Amino acid sequence: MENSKLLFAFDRKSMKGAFYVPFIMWAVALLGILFYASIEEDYYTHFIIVQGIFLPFCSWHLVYRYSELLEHGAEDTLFPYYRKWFLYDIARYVILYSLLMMSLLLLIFIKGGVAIFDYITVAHLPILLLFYMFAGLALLFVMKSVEVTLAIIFIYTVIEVVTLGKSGMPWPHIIIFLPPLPEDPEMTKKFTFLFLITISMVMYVAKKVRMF
Amino acid sequence: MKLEIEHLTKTIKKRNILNDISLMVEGVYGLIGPNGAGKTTLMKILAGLQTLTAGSISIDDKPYVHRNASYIAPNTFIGYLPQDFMIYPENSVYEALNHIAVLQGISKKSERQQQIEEALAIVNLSGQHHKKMNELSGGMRRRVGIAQLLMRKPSILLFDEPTAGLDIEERIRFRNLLLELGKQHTVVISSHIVEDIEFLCTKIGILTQGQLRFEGTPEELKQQADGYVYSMNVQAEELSELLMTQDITQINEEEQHLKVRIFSTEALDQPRVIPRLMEGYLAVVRGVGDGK
Repeated sequence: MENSKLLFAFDRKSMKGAFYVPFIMWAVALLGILFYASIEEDYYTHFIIVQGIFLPFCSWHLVYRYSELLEHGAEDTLFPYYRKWFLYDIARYVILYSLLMMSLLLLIFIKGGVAIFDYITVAHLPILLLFYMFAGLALLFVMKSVEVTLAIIFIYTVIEVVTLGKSGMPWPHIIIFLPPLPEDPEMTKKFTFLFLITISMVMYVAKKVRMF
Repeated sequence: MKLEIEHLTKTIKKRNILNDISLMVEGVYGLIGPNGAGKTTLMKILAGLQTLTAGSISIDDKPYVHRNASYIAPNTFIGYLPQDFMIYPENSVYEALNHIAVLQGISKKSERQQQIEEALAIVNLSGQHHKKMNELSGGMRRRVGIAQLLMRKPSILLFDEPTAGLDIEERIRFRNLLLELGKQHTVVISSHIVEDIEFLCTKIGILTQGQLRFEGTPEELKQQADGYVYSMNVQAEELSELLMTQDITQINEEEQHLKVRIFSTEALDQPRVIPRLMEGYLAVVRGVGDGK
C-alpha cells in the first residue's frame, strides 16, 4: 500500500496536469450518465458513455509512465526496475480504473436498476478496460511516441463512437452500441475478436518487458 | 569481486558482434578498442540488457548464465552506467533518486533519505538536490547516474565511455571519482580514450571487431610496442610531411626544434624509446604485438 502511494505520487508529479485527464474523463462520463443519458429513451447510451468516454482513457497513465523508457539514455537504467515492477504497475492501475468503472456502473444501477444489466455487457467492460490498457502499451512500444500512441487510440475511438461502429473502416469494431443479444453471431464475433486481440496485446507487452 | 567471462559470443543476423571473448575482470579493468569493436554490447550483456548467444559468465566462480539462458541471471552485484545517462528530465535530482530508491525496494522514507544523501555525498553533489535533471551538465548527470547505482550497493560497476563528451574540468573530476570508486568496487570502464585508461586501470583488455586482441596489465600493454617506437627531432616545417607518412604519437616543442615520437613497424634510422600505453595499443590494433 505504501509503495502504491509512493508510485502514484511520483506519477502525479512527473505527469503534472496530464495525470488528471482520465479522472476528468471519468467525471465527464459521470455527468453524461447523470444528465444526458435517459433510461426511457435509450438505456444503452449509459454503457456507450462508459465504453466511449471513460475506458479509452484507461490507456493514459501507463503510456505516460512507460514512455520514460523512451527518453534518450533512460532505457538501460530504468528497464530493469520497470520490469521488476511491471505486474505491480498493471495491478495498481487495473484496480484504480476498475474502481472508477464500478462507480459509473453503480450510478447506472441506481438510475435504471438491475434489469438494464446483461451479462454480455458486464463481461465485455472489463475486457475492454484491459484491451485499452495493453493496446496503449503495445502501441507505445511499436510507435515509440506518446503522442502517436494516444492519437491512434483516440482517433479510433472517436470514429467508432461517432459512427456507432458503422464507419466502414477496415478495423475491428470492439465497442457494443446496441443491447446485445446472446444468439447474435455478430456479437460472438466481436467478443471473440476482442478477447483474442487483448490476449495478443498482453503477450506482446509481456514479451517486450521480458516477463517470459 | 571477480568477474569471469568465458567464450562469450554474440551473434546478430549471422554476424559475430562478439566472438569467443574470454576475460578475467578484477580491480579496475579498462576495455579499449575502436568504435564498433563491441565494447558497449559486452557491457550491456554483463548488465543483463542484451542476450548472449553462447558462453558463460561467473561472479566469484558462481555461474550467472545458466544452460540455454539467453540473459545473465538477474543479480544485485552488477551496476551499469550507460554513456548517455538521463532519467526523469522534468524531476529534481532528489525526486528522481527517491523514485529509483522506491523501485529498488527501499520503502522506508528515512532509509531512502539516508541512502540518497550518502550517495550524493560520494559523487560530490550534496548541494544539488533540488536541481532539475534537465538542468544538469553532462558530468553532473553522470554523477547522478553513479549515485543511483551506489544506492543499490553493487560490487561491480560498469561504465560505458564515462568521460566521453565531458569538458576538461568535468573529465578530471569524473576520473578522480572513478579512481575512488575503484578502491571499493570492481570497476569495468569501456573507453577509446587511452589516457583515461592509463590513469585509472590496473588491467586492460583490447577489443577490435568483436575479438579480444590483448589482455594484461598496462606495463604488458606497453611492452607490445617494444622496438617500434622512435624519437626524432624535426624542424617545424618538416612536420606536415612527417604527419602524412608516419604515426606520430606525441609532439613536444623544444627550443630549436620539435621532438616527436613515432610508432613505426618499419625500422627507422632513429633512436628507439620506451613505449607508452598508446603505442602499445597501436601495436596490438595493428597486429604487431604478441597479444595475450
